[in-house]
Amino acid sequence: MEKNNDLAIEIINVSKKYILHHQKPTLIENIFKLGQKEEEFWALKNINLEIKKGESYGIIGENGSGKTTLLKIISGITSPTSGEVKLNGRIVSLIDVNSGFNPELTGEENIFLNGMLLGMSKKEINKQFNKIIKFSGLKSFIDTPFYTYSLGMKMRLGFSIAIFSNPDILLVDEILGAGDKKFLEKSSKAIQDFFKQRKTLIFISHLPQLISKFCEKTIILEKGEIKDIGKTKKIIKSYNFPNFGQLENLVI
Amino acid sequence: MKKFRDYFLKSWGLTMEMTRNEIKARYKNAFFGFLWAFLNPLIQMMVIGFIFQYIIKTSISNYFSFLFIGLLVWNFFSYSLTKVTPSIVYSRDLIHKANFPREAIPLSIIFSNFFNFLIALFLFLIFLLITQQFFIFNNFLSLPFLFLSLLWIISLTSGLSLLCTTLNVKYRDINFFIQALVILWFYATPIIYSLNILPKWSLVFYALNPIVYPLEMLRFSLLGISFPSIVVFYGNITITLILIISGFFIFKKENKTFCDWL
Repeated sequence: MEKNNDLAIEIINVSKKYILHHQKPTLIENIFKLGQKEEEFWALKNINLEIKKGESYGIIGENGSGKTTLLKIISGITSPTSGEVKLNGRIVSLIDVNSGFNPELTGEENIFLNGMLLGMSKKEINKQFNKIIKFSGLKSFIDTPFYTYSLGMKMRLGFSIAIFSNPDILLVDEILGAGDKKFLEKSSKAIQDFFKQRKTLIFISHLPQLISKFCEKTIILEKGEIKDIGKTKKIIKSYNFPNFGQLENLVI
Repeated sequence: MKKFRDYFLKSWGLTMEMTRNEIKARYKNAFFGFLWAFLNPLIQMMVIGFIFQYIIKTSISNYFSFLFIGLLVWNFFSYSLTKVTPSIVYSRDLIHKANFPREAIPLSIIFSNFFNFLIALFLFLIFLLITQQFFIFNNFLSLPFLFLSLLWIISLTSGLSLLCTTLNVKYRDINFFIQALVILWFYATPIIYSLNILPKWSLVFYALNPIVYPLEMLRFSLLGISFPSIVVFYGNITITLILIISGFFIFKKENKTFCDWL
């Protein structure tokens, strides 16, 4: 069979079941299952999706519609209950960019740790090392222990490593809460530059401005199923966005 | 095949990086640094040794060396097990962040402890040289036995730890169970006493304790103390293999969905 090299992501019949725990089960309870049935919850149902290289998709949907679960399955953080995800190239997700650091180590040592967690080799990190530091703007703090960093600094470093890990596919979830305006502008530009290199982007957001800024196409998820898919302009018109009021002016 | 090789290299690279970080982070702010790896069992040895040499008056010859080796192995084993068991749960943030080889978390803890173990062992060899206990340096069987016992100890620790840390993701009782078990396990292992003074029938119980034989093997290679009976060997090797295989497979099966339980 010939592999379709045009595809960046191929999602085939993916479903994800969670078992609801109203309370954590203890070992004893599980050994003597007292006849009670487990409560199931299908976060995703039969998702089929093909995303070509160089495409950018926005994903919108209410809370609990399965957006984050889909992102986690695409990035391999968890695996689907059934179905399959095929990837072509390195994938990096901008989820929890301020985690994956060791507080006892310096910023410099943490770049290596974090970069390797994202799947870079030591050689690649060495190559990108100066760019990462420059982009994060943390040059004068880079040899201080990480526990002295503020949340904003951690986030900046985390974002810089992720963007310079040179992914072919970038997943972004609810962009970047912390960070000052200047860094937000910078990271927004970095994502746009990234996209200019004909790379693939998947973007989850509640904000229509961001979606239409970054994404050609948009998917609406509802209760774990794809409700609608198409050109962003069309979709956004049909979709009733929650009103964020002032928040909308705040971001970029 | 290439896929497997790539995965292995990636996993190994990350494990080694995390091991180095673990070692660095542990001793960065400690004045005595690496010496703690040796000081810790040394202090334990002096206290326990004093009690059994002068108060209870043991009949074991060369008791301090005998005890020190026992403590060295036990500290590595128990410290690794108690630290690895909750490690996956404590690494919640990492696991939600990226899809990296999960085994790097438990294995890096074990390897960094093993590094400390080796340093302490090396210092102990120097001690043997200074006090002119040349058994290990003269006996040709010593080196292979030393190597085999270390291999046994680290594989057993890895297998059991992988098993416990996986189970602990779903059943948080395991962590408490291990903490309680380790205290009792200390007395169920011939660390402060020798198997030689026990009645023969009791060896059946020691056959069920998989750390006994590798410990005795290490003692043999360093001091030339006799081996326990073959019953202990058969029992220990069987249980060790069961733990390694089940630990490996359960971890492999469950590690893709750790994220759902954390």
